[in-house]
Amino acid sequence: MNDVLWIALLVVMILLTFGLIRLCDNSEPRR
Amino acid sequence: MIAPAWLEIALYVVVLLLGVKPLGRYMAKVLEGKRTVLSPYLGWLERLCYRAAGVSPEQEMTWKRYAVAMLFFNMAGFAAVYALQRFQHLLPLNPQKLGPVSTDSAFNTAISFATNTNWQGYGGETTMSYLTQMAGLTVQNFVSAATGIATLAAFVRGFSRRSSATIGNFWADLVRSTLYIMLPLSTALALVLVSQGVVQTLHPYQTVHLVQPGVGSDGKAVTEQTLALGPAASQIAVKQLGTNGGGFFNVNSAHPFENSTPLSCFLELLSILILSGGLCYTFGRMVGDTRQGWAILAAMTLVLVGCLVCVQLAEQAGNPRLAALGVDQIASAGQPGGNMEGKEARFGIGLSSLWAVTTTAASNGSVNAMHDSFMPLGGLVPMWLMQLGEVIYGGVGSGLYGMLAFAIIAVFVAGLMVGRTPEYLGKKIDSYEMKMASLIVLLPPFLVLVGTAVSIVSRPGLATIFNPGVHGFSEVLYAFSSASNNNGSAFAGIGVNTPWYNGALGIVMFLGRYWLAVPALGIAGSLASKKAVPAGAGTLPTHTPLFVFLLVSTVLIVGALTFFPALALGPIVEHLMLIGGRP
Repeated sequence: MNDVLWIALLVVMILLTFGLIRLCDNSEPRR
Repeated sequence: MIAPAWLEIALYVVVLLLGVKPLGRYMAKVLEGKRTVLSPYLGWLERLCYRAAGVSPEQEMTWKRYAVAMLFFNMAGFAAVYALQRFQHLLPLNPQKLGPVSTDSAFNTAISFATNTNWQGYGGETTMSYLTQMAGLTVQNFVSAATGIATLAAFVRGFSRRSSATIGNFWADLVRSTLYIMLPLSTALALVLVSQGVVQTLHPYQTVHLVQPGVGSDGKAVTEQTLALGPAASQIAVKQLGTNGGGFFNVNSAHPFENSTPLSCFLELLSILILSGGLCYTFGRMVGDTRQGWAILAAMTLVLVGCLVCVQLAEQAGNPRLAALGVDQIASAGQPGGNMEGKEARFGIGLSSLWAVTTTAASNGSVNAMHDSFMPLGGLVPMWLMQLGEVIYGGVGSGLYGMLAFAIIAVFVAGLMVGRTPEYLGKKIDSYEMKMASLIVLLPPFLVLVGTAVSIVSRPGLATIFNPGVHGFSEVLYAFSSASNNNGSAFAGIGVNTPWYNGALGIVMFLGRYWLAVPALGIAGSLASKKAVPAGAGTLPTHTPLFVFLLVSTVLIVGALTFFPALALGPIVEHLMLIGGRP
């Protein structure tokens, strides 16, 4: 596989991690 | 001899514990932004770093900003290491004229060093130029360790702050951890290692005439040998202190140029756990009750000592199949006895067992003996220590926030037992904290077990398993345990420098690091925003032996239940076959 494919794999993982940060966001007002 | 091995272990534990308080107190000052003894000498450099990066250290961050900054910084490190490997043949400081690293290996290694795993699918002296080792790998050794310390500092602020929306500044934590903790300690250790004979040079490899010529596999006389050299001492020092572990040479600290004397061995061993141990005291100082830090350290040390005893006994007992053939494996003045296969004669069973346990208790991963050659039970323990989630001392910073996630689960379980709302260090533990702690505890086992399962049923995964049967399974299980928990040590024996293993292990290393750091920072943000709850009659004291017992039980039960079936298919059945005389 060439460089582009490996870098693309990393980018996907970074985007998934941003998704995780959003999922873990509990900044809605709590009681 | 057996007695010196136990003395080495006892001396090690004592010296380690003696270093915890002074180092922990110093690190607390650093992470609280206070003036330290090194401030007059390094303060200007700290200010220069902030100015050059255009950041204000006083600017506080929410946990999400903190997480994004951490991720961006580490991914910039990935890009730098990847590029250095791919273009090293065009760059200076490559006296051996080594070619570019393959794309899959470069991907794996860049993630490995950015995530503090330092798993190595390559041989250092035959793959990496001096520039790649120095500007790529060594730099990541510093900053990935500092990233772990920074994340821990943010996590602890979750407990120490009241009604706060922020948990600190990532850049300030990163710079201070690097400059005031990693840099001075690494420099001092590197100089001591050089004094012991560890190499530090930019000269090319040397070809020398052998004093005792040998015969090659082709039957021809061998009269010369090429000795690999390089700037090793500076990398060895930081790789041990930062629980990184990536060796300069392929055989790591079994190599005499990486680990030259008994003193260098002891100091390298000590540096593997000293920062993680010290950070327990730092945690106690930062939350205003050092007993809390000692309790966590006690839980870690209990498991550590138990594992040390197990490995030492397993290795010293030797191989029953060899005993049945009449081979003398009894320790005496003339031989160390036991299982010496794969161990350096200079270090023997004592220092090899000690290293195997400390390097896997911490997420270090460097080795001074080949774990693949340990007895089945001797190899089971290092594997299991990693599978516990690298929380027995663990990686610098990451080990402690992993253990504190277990502490949150322990107080939750205790709260369920007595019907009280769980609290830890004056903060109520709600469903959000439990969800995040569960993610921290459950994600690594998921990565280990799924990665192993896919590898042993897929064609590319099976293609490079050279030991068919249970030992081959153990090797794959060890590899995924090591990568998912950011340890980096290898059982070896399988060929991992393939696109499949480089890719799969790279993915689990990434997820095992950042998908734990993100929920840890989420817990920090949530706890920091809460008010403190005064301790009452129903509050579970978390500095007592009872809590230490509860915490150890939680860690062991989770670890044992999750991995027992997999271990039963690998090292346990291998042990049973060995004592049963089965081939």
